[in-house]
Amino acid sequence: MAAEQGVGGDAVIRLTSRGRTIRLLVTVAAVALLLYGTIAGSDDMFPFGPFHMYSRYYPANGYVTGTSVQAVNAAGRQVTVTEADTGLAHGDIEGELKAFEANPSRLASLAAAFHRRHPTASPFVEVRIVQQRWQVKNRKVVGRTTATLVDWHAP
Amino acid sequence: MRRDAARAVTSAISRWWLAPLPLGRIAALRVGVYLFAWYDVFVYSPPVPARARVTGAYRPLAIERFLHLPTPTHAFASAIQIAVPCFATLAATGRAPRVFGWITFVLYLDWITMGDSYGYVAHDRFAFIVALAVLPTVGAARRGDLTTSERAGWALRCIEVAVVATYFLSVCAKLRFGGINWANGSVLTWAVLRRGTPLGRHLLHHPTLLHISQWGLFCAEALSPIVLFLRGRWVYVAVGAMLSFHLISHETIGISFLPHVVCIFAFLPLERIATRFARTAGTTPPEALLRRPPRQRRPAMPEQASPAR
Repeated sequence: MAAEQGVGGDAVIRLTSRGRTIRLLVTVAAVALLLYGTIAGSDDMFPFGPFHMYSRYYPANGYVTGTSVQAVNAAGRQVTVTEADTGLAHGDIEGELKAFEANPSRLASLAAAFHRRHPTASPFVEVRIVQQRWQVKNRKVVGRTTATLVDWHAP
Repeated sequence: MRRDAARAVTSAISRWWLAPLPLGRIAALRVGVYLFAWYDVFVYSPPVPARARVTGAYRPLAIERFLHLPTPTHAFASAIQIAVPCFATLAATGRAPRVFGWITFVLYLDWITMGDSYGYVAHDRFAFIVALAVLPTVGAARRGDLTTSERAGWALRCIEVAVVATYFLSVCAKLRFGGINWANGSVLTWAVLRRGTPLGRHLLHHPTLLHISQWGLFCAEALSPIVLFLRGRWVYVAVGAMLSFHLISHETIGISFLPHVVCIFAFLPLERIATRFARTAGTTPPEALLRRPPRQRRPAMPEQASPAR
């Protein structure tokens, strides 16, 4: 590193040519990975995967959907399961929806996670992934229905 | 001829990316970024230790498979949760910035990789990860130091580019996954329905406003690279626009992008905070922190009768 006087009279510390080369190579590699991730990659390439939050197309006229997790506890009460209950966020469950549909018994792990976090609370005996379907017309909500996608009952 | 043009472009890009900036800006940004780690791991981040207990949901990402990282346990994730902000605080002090900075980067990357291995990967902290990766490379940087350095310039430019890339590449993702008609859909209606705040839910009654906002967002993100070339007060305008955008998203759909927001401050002359503070507190003036030789004070008495008189 060499110091010299800059335009305004303040000192400027320059990089060595090795330091410069390393930085430029790292920059090029990171930019290339990021561009590849954006164009052809997936979440698996984290942190270089595509920035896809809110990137899907939802029709202005038709149906938009959202999922939530509902549970029935041993006392017979129906509750909405939140991230604070199990540690799994909304997005985690939506991201893994196909896996849950293929194997509903995976919902047992949510019941187990809830029980570990809240050992004194009434345990879940049934867990459901529920889908809300909103009908929109010119982006205005005109109707709403609910359907159960995955259902698990404690054995 | 063509080779000359390529060389000229490469050299222009390298000059731009390495343009020297004050070391004091790095020192100030380090304090903000590293101390944010406390809020990040305990409040903002996904509850990684709790996730680690949902054993069946773990889906290791490529980086974890590549490094053969073990399945996270509750105890391990809890230990990382404590270690990240502790090492980050040491890094924030500015002592041994490389050692503590690199340790913080590795621990944080592990922390967030674990958190993102349960089905959903957010993109709200790309710039923050980049900041943690590049801040250690600058080495020593004192608060208020106006000496400019190419090391500081490269690191700050990387953070700025990462901030802008988060916007610009998300437009590319919208085109890839949503198609050219994305902004004519109802994504914001969906966002508000899914996680709208009471304020956000009011917007459901104003679908035209949501439609216009979709176009506004799309255009603003597509034009975001301009921010990298602004100067003077336009930088403040751009920073204000970015901060307002995140404030509005937080108030309407509860998404703040806070780690990213911390990095937006890399655009500002943060080194002046220390200079101003020094002035008000009456401590060492900023000029004294420059690496210029201090002006010698002449003895008052002997040469009073100068030739000029």
